[in-house]
Amino acid sequence: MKLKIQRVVDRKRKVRRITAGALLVLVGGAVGLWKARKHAEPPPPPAFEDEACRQTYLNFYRNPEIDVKVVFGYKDARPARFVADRYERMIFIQRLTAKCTKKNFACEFVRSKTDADLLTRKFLGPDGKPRTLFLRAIPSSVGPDDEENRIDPFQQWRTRYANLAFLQGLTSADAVIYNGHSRAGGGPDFSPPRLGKDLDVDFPWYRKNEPGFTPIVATLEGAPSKLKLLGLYSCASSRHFLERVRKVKPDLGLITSPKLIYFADALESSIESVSSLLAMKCEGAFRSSLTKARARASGAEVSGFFEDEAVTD
Amino acid sequence: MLRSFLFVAITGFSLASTSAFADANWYDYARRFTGENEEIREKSIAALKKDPNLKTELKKALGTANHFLALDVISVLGLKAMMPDLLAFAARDKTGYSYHVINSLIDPKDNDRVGQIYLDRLDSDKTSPAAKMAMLDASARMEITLGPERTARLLKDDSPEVRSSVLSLFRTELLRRNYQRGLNVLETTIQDPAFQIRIQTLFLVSELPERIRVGNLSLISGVLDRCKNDPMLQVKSLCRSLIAGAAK
Repeated sequence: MKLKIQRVVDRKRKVRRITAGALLVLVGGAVGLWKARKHAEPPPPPAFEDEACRQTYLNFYRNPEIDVKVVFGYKDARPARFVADRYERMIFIQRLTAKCTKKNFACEFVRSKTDADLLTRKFLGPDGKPRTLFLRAIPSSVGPDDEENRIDPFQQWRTRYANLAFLQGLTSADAVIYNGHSRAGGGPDFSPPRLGKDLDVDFPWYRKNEPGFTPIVATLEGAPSKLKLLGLYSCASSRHFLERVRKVKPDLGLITSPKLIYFADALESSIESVSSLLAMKCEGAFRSSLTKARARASGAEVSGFFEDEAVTD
Repeated sequence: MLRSFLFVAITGFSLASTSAFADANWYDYARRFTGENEEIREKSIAALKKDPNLKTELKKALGTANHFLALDVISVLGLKAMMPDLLAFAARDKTGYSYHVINSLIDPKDNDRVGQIYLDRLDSDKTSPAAKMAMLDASARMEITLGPERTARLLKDDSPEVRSSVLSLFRTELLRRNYQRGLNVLETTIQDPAFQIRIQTLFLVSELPERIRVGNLSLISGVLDRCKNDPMLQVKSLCRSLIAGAAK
């Protein structure tokens, strides 16, 4: 009798354990499915704080496919031989392909297998409809040694490719970001620098000839442009380029820096600007994201991008 | 009166400047390495050298918001004593910048020891692409040889930048160090899914000296055969121009 009772108790326990286990599996599965679904679905568009802000992003995200080019200029460190743009671009890509966090929207981009420069990200536009952002992150150098790059024929191709991507972006992209040297106002520059007699960068030549800036003006003057935002993450770009670009294309939004810019700050601020565009941040939040702790030293300022915005520069 | 005013003003100004310099943190000095004139840079270096806690502060800063500034200071001041800390930290440094600093500090006599650490880390899945690039790029100068198996493995790495660095290292070994080795790497890289790697391969083919070309006619012909109908116009066009050049 005792044994029979024991068996019944054991069976009941077993049934309870199985039920509890099944429940756990079901709950776990449901949570997993909910998480996966949440992960797969792009976040909804934000509630805009004003109509002008909403209009800015309706204009920026007018098309289902958005073209953003981030071109890393030739980042030599003369008189040292080290060239850094490939490494900076790699960090940029690692950040863009990382999992999203609460405050970072420049994340979970997917890399193309066939084009090493292309990253895509799906999201919902300001009207709640799907958009795909095609971001190209393009380097200028082929290797870390300036002396070696100068005699590598592949360098010439890289330079042409980066230069073309930048200039084509000025008319056909929605946003272009340049992260590189100002060359004393003669930049942007995508090739090993021209050197003076002292084997340092020939700044007087760059200042006089403006080999990087002249094509910007010619491109913007010569063809209709759909570009809405140009970020120039280079030393004192506000002083070198801001007014002169604005003169050619007054409706263009610009991100520039008023001072010398440390590479890590420029990189952080570049990532922040992509994040702010994806998060569709309004003017105040956009500005403060560019000046937040880790990016603040870049001193980057956005102007002319938001509708009805008073130009401050 | 005017004289004493000037004295007070000048003394006050110089005291303020000195104190602004003296009160700065190590990372404020580090920022002055970039874009400032040589005098300010030298003063910053001198001030940093006097800081008794500098190494502790720099070690603490690795991996934080001041990561790159700390690495700049270590490199500019040539703090070789921090090599063990750097080598340990580099294993988890996703930016790869620790390796650039290690590369700038390393003594040639340590090349083999550090080279072995690099090879081990190149084999690890935990190493970030940026770190792999930094180690591969340094391998040429440190005369580290990957070996055929590791080369083949790294040419399958998910990151096209890592694959490109492997190809660059192969180029250096072939053209600058005159290594006697086969060209079969090119057979792999001409089939790389990323068109940029295929272009890089073709530029290397265009650079091959006559003595290597003559010894590998059939292999080179096979490589060019694979790209003459490449779906990417730029690859196809460069490939065909090389074929035309070879026929002359």
